[in-house]
Amino acid sequence: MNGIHDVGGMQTFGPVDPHDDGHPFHADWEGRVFAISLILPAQGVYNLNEFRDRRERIPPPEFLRRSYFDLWLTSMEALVVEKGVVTREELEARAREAGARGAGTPWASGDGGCLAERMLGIIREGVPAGREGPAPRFHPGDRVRARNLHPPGHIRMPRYVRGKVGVVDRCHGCFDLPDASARGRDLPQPLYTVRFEAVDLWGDQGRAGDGVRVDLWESYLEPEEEPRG
Amino acid sequence: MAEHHGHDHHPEPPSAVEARARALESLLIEKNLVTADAIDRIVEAYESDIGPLNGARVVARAWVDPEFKRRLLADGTAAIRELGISGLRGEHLVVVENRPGVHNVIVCTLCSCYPWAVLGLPPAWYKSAAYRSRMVINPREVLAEFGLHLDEGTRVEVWDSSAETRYMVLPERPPGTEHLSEEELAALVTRDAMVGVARVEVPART
Repeated sequence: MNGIHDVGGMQTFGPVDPHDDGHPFHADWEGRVFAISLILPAQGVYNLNEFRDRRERIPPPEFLRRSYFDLWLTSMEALVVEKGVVTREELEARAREAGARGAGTPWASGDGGCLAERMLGIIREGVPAGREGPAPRFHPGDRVRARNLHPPGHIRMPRYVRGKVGVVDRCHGCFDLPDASARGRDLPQPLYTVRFEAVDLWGDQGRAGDGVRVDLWESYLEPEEEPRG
Repeated sequence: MAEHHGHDHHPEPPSAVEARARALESLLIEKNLVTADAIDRIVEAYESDIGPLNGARVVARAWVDPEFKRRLLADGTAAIRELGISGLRGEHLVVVENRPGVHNVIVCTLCSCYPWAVLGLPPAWYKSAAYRSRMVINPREVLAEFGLHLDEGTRVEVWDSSAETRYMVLPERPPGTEHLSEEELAALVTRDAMVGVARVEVPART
């Protein structure tokens, strides 16, 4: 899906504001939304690619209007409704109730249970995403073309490399293809880092010798010499 | 944020987005999918425990131990585990080395992928559309906005984190630091240097 999330190469967002106070959250609700976003995949409600896919399908005007963690919240609301966990009406009614109470109402607390320990274990140990899968078709040094794909669903290939030729830098082994994972299917494929020359991507905006590397799954790639199609 | 709590009779309503967050949280607690305890502990972990001090320890060790540096560049995940560092969004860590003539910088153009296990959660600018869109096409201009001006002869290598691999920059060790201990070196290493938008500087002596 060609969405507003895929901004690589746009030039109209203005200068970067490097100011930062070192805090990851700037309101209580942001931290709580972030935490819930880690818990729901651990509880099997959705996977990371379904989450990304849902976020990417938010229409551009709305996407640009909402803050970062509001986009996460909006995506989770949609997913829990689509998965049948809660209804839209329940969410709206509960939000009205919360809105009627004053700001500063304490958040839920306490209760123990094993979920907190399990989540801390996940945070400490991680969840390796490597999979068993087919042997790689490409090898470091191979020249490959990023295929000109524009699927109606999720894809993790930025638009700015599609149709461009680069060189395989390394293979990372197999990982689930996000396109399939977003639809709940497991399709492990070799994953590569591919290096593109900046001038091949950006013409005279690129600097000779500069490079951009992107991680791309095998089905996103074809040998350079293969006929385009 | 609860800046006006205590004014019990006419409390300000929470923002619409906060009300929605409260609604989602309370419904998920009722469905036994989420616990308040788990939320509190996760927030606490990312506010207090998991941050760029982890990455700084890795960098300092690589500067003083060439064998560790070799292992780090070959397999980032295995090497940071030697220092007791591991975790979410650090399961497939690739460390890329800055050296004279080559400057690496990390971005995620599709969302905001970032090596949480070594750097914590990303700052606002890393998540901004301005950074994500322009770092791949005009990296020198963006780096200059951070005050980092590269020589004409230095190549820029941009790493766009589009998969579950996560990248971290190993900055160059600044000159004049030969006398410093590993701990003193770690104290010089900033998050921005490990993203690649700054160099590691030695504070001027007075």
